[in-house]
Amino acid sequence: MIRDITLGQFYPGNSWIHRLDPRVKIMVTLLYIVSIFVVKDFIGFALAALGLAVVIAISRVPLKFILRGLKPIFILIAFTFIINMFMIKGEVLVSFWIFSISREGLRMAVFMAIRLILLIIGSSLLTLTTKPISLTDGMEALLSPFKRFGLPAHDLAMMMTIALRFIPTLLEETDKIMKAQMARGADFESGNILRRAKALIPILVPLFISAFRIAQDLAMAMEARCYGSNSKKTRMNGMKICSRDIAACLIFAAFLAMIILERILL
Amino acid sequence: MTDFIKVENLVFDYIKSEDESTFRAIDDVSFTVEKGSFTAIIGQNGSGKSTLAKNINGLLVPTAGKIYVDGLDSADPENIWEVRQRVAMVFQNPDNQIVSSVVEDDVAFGPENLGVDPKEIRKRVDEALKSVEMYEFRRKAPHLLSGGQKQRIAIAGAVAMEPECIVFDEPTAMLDPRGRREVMNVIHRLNEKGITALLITHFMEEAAQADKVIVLDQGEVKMIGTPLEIFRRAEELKALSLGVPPAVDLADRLRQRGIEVPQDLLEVEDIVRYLCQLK
Repeated sequence: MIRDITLGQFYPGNSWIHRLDPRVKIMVTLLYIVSIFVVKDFIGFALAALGLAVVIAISRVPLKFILRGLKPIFILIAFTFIINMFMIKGEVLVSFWIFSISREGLRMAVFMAIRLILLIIGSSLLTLTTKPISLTDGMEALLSPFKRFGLPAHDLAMMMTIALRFIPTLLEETDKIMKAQMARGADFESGNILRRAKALIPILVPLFISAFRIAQDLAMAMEARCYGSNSKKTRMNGMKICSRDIAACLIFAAFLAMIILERILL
Repeated sequence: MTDFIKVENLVFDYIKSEDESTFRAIDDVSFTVEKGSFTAIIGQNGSGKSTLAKNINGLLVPTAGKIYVDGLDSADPENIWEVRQRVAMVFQNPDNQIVSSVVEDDVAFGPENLGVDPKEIRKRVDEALKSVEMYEFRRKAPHLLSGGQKQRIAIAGAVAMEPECIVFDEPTAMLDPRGRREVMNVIHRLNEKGITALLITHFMEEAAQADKVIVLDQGEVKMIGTPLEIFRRAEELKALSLGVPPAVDLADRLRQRGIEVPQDLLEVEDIVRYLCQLK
């Protein structure tokens, strides 16, 4: 049960996309998001969607899995759709009571919905095909040029690594505390929201205390393993840009050029 | 044999931050650990065992007295990383000492901090994982493993630093009997390969497997000797709220009933073998 939860939403696989360097994937995803905002007509969207479809096909992540990621933000999409549809004035198509739908409004609504959907699928592809730990490594590498401005890139990455590592441990701890409280008659399920929130206090307090204790233990164990020594750190699985990463960059550059040309020419 | 760790008149005080009052956890302790030996430190809770361990690799700095690791003063900030590389440490709680969510990345943590060459790290990680028989689990997530397996990963993490000595701070306290056996087997195997082992424990049968036993009570060394010498003094151990290994206890009771049992049987297997011959 509680310990079976999957971390993040990584879909294990060994496709071409999975094996790409995380740095390349992060940069490509960021640029893809930018490119979606460059697009201003439906032909552009068709191109962007086609590109995405190709990537999905190569990654072999089931479509069902990808669409599931859309579920939580479905309300957001519906909301922007409705607001856009009713709020933008223009040539009236249908009108009733105080509401009216304009041609421009409808166009804008569809436009924004497509943009949001592409945005979310595009960025979720990154987390679906990249292990959380490689994602952390990639971010560290991309942020490291900012080290000279005082950005602690390595410490940030270390914090993320530890957070990922201790999610299951803390869940287990929560489970243990909940059971201990339940054994002594605590009731977490009945009553209104306020009462239930109140019932969580006896869980949160011991959980915080145990989190601090774990942190102290871990800090000691890390120090014992020479964390913080002055010698320059190395990585066992150093990231290396190989031919497939260069190919991916070139293909993406071609895609980007197409999007920009489409915007300028059409 | 040469002394690898030399503890001289060690004193350690904990200072409470609220009122600056002190609590003496270790009071004038001296002993040596020979290179390649297997030493056990026993004592009840609060006897200062863990504090002693943390002093040895510089996690805590002695209030008075000296600790030399391979001739290096552990209190000298210049030496700290060198000391920690030579004396690795394995802690009690397997969950709270694993850093990464991938087994092999965790084992690589120590050498990465030391700035070892990536290829060399790969080699060390593979060897360390093989030495604790966890190689096939190298890509697994630690939270899915059993306590004994996690503890062996933690040991591999220590081994990958290529230390000369490993301090085990009650590594089996939170494990089930099977996990305990696995971990003890690994400790023996590493010791046979030449790694100096310092085992802190409150299981007497584990201490019986060492070359030398140090008994701590209230921060003071009460006895030092071979397991045979120590466990012969059952009455004194009981006075310190410590026991004797089950085999020694059984032999004592048999003797009380008039059955001759030799003095040098410390482990259950030994006594079983002896009694089976008896008939």
